[in-house]
Amino acid sequence: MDKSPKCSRCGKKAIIDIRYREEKLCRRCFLKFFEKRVHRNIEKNKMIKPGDRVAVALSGGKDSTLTLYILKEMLNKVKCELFAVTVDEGIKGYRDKAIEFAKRNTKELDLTHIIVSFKEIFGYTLNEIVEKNKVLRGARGPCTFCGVFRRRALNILSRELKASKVATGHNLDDESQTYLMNFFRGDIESSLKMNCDESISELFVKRIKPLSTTPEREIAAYALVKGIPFHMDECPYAQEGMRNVVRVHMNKIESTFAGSRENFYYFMNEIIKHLKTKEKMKFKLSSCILCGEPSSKEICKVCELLKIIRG
Amino acid sequence: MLKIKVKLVDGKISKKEMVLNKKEVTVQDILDILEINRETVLIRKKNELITEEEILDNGDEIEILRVISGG
Repeated sequence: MDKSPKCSRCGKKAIIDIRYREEKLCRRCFLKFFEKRVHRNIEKNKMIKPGDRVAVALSGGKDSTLTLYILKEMLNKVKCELFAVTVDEGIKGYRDKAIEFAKRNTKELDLTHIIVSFKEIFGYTLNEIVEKNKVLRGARGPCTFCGVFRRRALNILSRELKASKVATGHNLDDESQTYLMNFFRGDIESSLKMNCDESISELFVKRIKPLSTTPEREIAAYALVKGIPFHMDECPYAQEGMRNVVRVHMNKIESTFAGSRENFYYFMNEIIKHLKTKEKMKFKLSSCILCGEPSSKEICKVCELLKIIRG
Repeated sequence: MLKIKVKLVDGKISKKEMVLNKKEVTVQDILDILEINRETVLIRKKNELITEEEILDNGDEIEILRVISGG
């Protein structure tokens, strides 16, 4: 007799336990559950409209790869243009492998794929930045340089390619972790910028996050069930960031109190929404006096970090 | 006594055989012994995803795929 747990919806063999919904789901019901939530997130937040030109920030990992597949499928409903952009940070033995997956998937979906590197834009690979920072005994970790430079590279490239939106693979885990990190840093402004509906600068291409309400583990499950190839290795610098500590603790809380992550995310979204209604919490980005790119300060973070590397 | 083969896919692949002095064992029991947070992994048996409540048989082989780092 089959002792396997059964799907709460149809009674077939369950493949995944959605503990925060108190449901176990079979393959078919899980795919339906997953797609419905992503589509609802896209529609509720009006992420895509006809005529949009959407650049998907494709790393080759599961999150951005699924974002690409889901948006490609949505093209049947919403008439817009879609292409992929990849930023090669220059992490030897890691990003080069991921780019191979990105190339394979864009080819499979018959989409244009453009790759740009840190070396081309900033003059250094991330490996070189890390070495220079070590020599200079800098206090900032690799993730700080990588995050700031990647966002800039993505914005420059998308703007040059005349994209109206950039779709990133940020998932529920990423978003909750970022809220918590901003909280610990006392950084309200960064949380306000996370889900900006209005344009904060003419030079800044609006971001959309179709997977922001989907847990990371379910994204991996969906890709495995659908047989979508993705790069699984962990970034060699991942253990060094604050995010890693926050991630470990959030996962512990979630495993003990199922649903905590989702509750925290929606709670923070509500707080941010209320804060935005206050006039003083609305802001526009100005331009960096050195490079002219969007910045909330006189000198942008990229120029500040480049100054450190150049010594 | 139950023998369960475990393949841990965590960037690299490691294999081990666990011998458990129990009459019945679930996937969750294996995760508890290995001190792996269920929120960070997916489990496969014969290439199919299974839930943590699945009861394993003597000689079963499971794959633990680390899909989230820092568990």
